Amino acid sequence: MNDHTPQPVRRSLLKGTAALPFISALAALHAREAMAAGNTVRIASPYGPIAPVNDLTTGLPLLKLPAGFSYKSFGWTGDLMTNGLPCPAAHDGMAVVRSRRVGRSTELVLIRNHELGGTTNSSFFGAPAVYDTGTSSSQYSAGGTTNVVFTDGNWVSVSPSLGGTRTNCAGGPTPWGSWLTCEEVGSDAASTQDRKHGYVFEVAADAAQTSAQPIIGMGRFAHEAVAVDPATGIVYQSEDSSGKSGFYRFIPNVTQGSLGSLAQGGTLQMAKVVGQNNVNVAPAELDQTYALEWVTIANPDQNRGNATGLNGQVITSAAGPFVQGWQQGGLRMNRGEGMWYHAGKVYLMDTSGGTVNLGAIWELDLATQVMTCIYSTSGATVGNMGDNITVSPRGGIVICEDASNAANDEFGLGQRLMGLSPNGDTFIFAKNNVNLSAAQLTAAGKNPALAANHVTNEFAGACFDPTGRYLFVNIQTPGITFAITGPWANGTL
Amino acid sequence: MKLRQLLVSLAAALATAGAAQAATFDGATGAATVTSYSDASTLAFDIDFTSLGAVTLNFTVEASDLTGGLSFNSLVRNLTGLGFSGLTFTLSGATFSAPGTLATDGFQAITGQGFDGHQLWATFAPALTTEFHVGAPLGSGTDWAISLAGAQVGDTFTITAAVPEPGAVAMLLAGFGVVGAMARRRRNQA
Repeated sequence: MNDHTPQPVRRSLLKGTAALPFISALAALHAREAMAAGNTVRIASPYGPIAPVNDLTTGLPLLKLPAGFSYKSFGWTGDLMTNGLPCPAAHDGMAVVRSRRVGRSTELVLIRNHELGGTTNSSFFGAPAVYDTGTSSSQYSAGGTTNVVFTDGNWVSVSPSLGGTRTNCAGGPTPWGSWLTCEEVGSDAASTQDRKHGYVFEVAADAAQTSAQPIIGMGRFAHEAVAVDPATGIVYQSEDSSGKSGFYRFIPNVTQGSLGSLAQGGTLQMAKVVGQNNVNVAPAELDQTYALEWVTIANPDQNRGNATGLNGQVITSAAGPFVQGWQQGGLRMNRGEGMWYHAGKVYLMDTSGGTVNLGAIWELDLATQVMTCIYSTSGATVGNMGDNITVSPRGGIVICEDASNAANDEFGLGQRLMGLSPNGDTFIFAKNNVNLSAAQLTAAGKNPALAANHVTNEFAGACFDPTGRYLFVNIQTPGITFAITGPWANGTL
Repeated sequence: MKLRQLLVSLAAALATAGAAQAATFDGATGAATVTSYSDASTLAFDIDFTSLGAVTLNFTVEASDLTGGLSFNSLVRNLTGLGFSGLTFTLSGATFSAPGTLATDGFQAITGQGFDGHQLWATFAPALTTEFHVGAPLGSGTDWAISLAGAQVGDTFTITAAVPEPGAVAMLLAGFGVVGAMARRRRNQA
């Protein structure tokens, strides 16, 4: 059932006109607009074409980047951490949670998710905080987080912080300097220790302060990402559950946030379109808008079930919070993925949304509670199932692609980091070029078992440092973290 | 712009007021935020460029400077988002008497460097977008030595850190090439 109500506003035409004073550029804009017809289009990158660039750490050509950009890799799967154990795999969501001066040095602490399910290994990679020591189907929970330190432009260390969680996909930083890690679990199953999964956990910049206490009030569902409004303390949340993904927010009881404050409780709510019931916002068109209101979820820990919407539509086997919200007319999207807060707005990627089901980004204005589609791809080369997103300190949006079929464009096959211009156009910023032999890995001091062509594996966890000089990002498999720098001001990122 | 420069100067002056340090720091003017970490014998400054251009650090000579000499280091952070093809540090009223080290954080290489009595310079590839270390601001390397020979107590001198335009970098390289060639010629003639 296609029940969305497009309300097109050709915002990009006005913005583009203001930015392009020359007639030739205006003509190009008109041509682009004609092509757009409700979709984002791709333009040439303001940073120029990309080509393989050698990693300054290993000498290996791991990324394709524009000229003038360089990078250092670190924290590969299997690298030894500060506790002497190998670094876990499946690097996913990430953010810089602390930036401070230590003398004249600048120290950054990043917290990084590891999206792992089950394992027979009960070490929990030595994490100081472990949520679930039990097993499900004879498997321990292998997911968790690691804290990574980057000082004065150099990688320093990786330390475990949280273990015993499952499928830690994305999450989000808090204004008070911690990380909210999200379990992407859509199941009511409990472990042998009677622990369920599908929660949000708070992780501290000092790993030893992490509690492993689930924030039950934020709901139990297939969490993907969060974005915190620093003005109100409200946490916006996405759900990654095909065709039955809600858009939530958590109003904490303690609005002046600090480590542990969210666990003191609050109210979970699900978004609803004002004046309309059970809207499916997935088939989003560029510039489409919806005004939102919120319905309260009485039991954030409710088990899964079927729900009948106020429009009569039945959704089966949905998460408990979704069931309650749907029954009150809440909206749904296809698969809520990455989120980021910037300058009074929250950005949310629906990875299978848009007119061709390859991705759409919603921009929620927190003051007006109106969300606008600022990106709706028309095809794989324009934008291909974006997942995690971030916003640079300059206001540019970076999209990590995680497509079922990686884009094959003029730069070859591979997952990409895309930029989104202020006019709503995409461009290719970087491409996964990890295609390594065992000999190359051995020479670089890495685990030769990671050898393979990984170019179709996803980017994740993109985030900038507060000065905007470094973009940090992961390639999930084989599990590598990068710090990238270059002349960002030459473009929009 | 003038107000911002004034604020930068005031902030830098306040940051160092009352501290035991080398030559009196009279503040800075220009396109950067300057923080002093100077002590009794070392002029030490973090210089955060927020736009392309130059920043001048102003000093007054103290009696102790004329006997003990001065060392100098600086941590330059590029916060402009633009690449620096090169950087220069120019002295007026003082001279570099012995070179120290020049380094980046490793994201960009130093492709050319040099100094004469009044200026040190470096060029980068790719263009510098992160940090540049003159001397040992973070403890690794060697500080530069500054001579105040001929100066009197109460005299003033300046250190100007500048980001030359790309064309100016080429001229700088050419200029130092000429200086180098003349020096070699003089050595050969000697």
